[in-house]
Amino acid sequence: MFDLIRSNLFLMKKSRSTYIMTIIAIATTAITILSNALLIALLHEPAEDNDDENGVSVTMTADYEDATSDDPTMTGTVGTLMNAANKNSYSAADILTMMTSGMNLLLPLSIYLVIFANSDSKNGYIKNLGGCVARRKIVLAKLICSAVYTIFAMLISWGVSMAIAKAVIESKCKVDVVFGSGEDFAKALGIQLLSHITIAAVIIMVIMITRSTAVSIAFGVALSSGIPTLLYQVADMVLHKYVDISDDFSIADYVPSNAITGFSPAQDSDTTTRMIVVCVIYLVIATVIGIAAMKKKDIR
Amino acid sequence: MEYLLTTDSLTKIYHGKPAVNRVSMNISKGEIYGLIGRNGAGKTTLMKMICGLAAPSAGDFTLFGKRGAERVKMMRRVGALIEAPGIYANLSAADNIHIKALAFGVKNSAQKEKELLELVGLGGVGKKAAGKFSLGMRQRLGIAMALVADPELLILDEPINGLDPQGIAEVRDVLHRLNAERGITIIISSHILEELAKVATSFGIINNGVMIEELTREQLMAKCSSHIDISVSDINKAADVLQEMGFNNFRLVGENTIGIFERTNESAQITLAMAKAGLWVYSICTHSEALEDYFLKLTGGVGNV
Repeated sequence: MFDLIRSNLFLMKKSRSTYIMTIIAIATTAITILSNALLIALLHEPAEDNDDENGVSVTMTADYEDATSDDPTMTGTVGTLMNAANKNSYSAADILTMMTSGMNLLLPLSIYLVIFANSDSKNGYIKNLGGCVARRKIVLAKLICSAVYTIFAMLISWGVSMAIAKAVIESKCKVDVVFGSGEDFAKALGIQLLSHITIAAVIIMVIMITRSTAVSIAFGVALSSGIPTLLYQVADMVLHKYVDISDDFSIADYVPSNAITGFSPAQDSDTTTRMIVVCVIYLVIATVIGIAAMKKKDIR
Repeated sequence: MEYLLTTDSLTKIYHGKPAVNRVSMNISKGEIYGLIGRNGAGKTTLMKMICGLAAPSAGDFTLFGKRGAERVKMMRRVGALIEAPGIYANLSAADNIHIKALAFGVKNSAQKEKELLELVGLGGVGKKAAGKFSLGMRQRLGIAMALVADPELLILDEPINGLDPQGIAEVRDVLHRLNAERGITIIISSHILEELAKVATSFGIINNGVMIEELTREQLMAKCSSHIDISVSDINKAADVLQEMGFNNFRLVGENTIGIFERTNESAQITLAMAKAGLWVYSICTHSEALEDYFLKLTGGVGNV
């Protein structure tokens, strides 16, 4: 198993796509942070007098899917921004959350992982291994190396994002960007890594089932877009209509992507625990199904 | 005799049709076994099952005397090149070998890479990406990769495809050396019987998924070489005449017919000698069957020749 991991890491090191997609991941997250930082700077500007001639004041409100007017912990991209706009300083955890909440890292990551994980089947290299190495080890090695890459891409993107955030927010808003609480950062990083790695496992499962690069990339792109959110909303409407469940229940709370879009450094421990448990369950199930699919099919 | 590989009614069914149908064969240690068949005969499917790339629908096989889970562990002693070589097009030949060496935990892989590339005639390719290789070069790289883990059994599916005559001769030479110097048992498939006949020591002829004949090289040559069939009135006396003429390689092939397998250009002298000995010669004819014709006759191709 260790040999297979070394072999896959060597392949990653030698592949041009590793560097190209890493640059794209850094660029997308950097653009996200830059635009967020500029918006934060805008929100920090003193409010102009916007009373109309009749004395009616107009205020902006955030309109986002996760908003609850009495929930102090706002989530989602805009919610994160609104939260951020009220701060006196920004921590590493805040920057990490801003960087990942729009799925901007997940998109290039998904594409790269499909290219990496499916390359053996696509070019026939798998025939060199398929009979000699246990198939579950092939899948596990791919997953472990995908996790390694995810950690690498996230940390490097975060590093660049911190530098941009520090440069823009500190100069424009006169507000500090600091590392902050190590515990908060560890929590944010852990949840984001776990959720991204879980989605990587789901994508690898799709690859093992379909053996198709196109289908797998389409799946990964769809996951990174707003399409699943619409599906969850429809599913919620159906459930609330026909099943006797709590009004607070939402399917979106029980998918791994919620840990990406719905995470807030200030969330309570129950929410954190739920996110972790959901991700671990999906990770295990996706891995088991991926291995079973790899074992069942002949290698062509 | 030690059999490295034995298959017992090995069968593979795709969409209700058998691609390989109850194939049983034995391959001895040290053999070069040529698997011959037309395109779509089942050679590749059979090899894939042996390599563990495809699960048999029925039947079983032993590898190095082991079955089941024990057999899976033996797969490390097998090197294979199945269909097109599986290589990373953007990596160099050395890097491709290195990846496999890492996966198999091969020590001193740098030395191994150099050795294998020299062995298959790719020593001078440097850092050129494998995707820019010619078909023949890719085939050779595939053979080199099959040798990475020092296999005892080498399975090569049409390795001479796309090679020029010099390339074919070089591969033939490599296979001979691997077999003679390292004792590697080789299973090699092809539809070019003439070439296979130069390298294999035994043959299996497969058609429509069924193994129709297995024979040694000597048996194949005997069936395919040119020979004289002579029908005479007295077989025993005819045998004495042939021996006096210095013929050794002849045998009874029919009730009053002797087959002579040497000096097949001396039919006139044979007829005269028989006549001088007082024998009636009912018929004498020279048969010459090319390997290809023999193969086509067996497999029902080209109107059964």
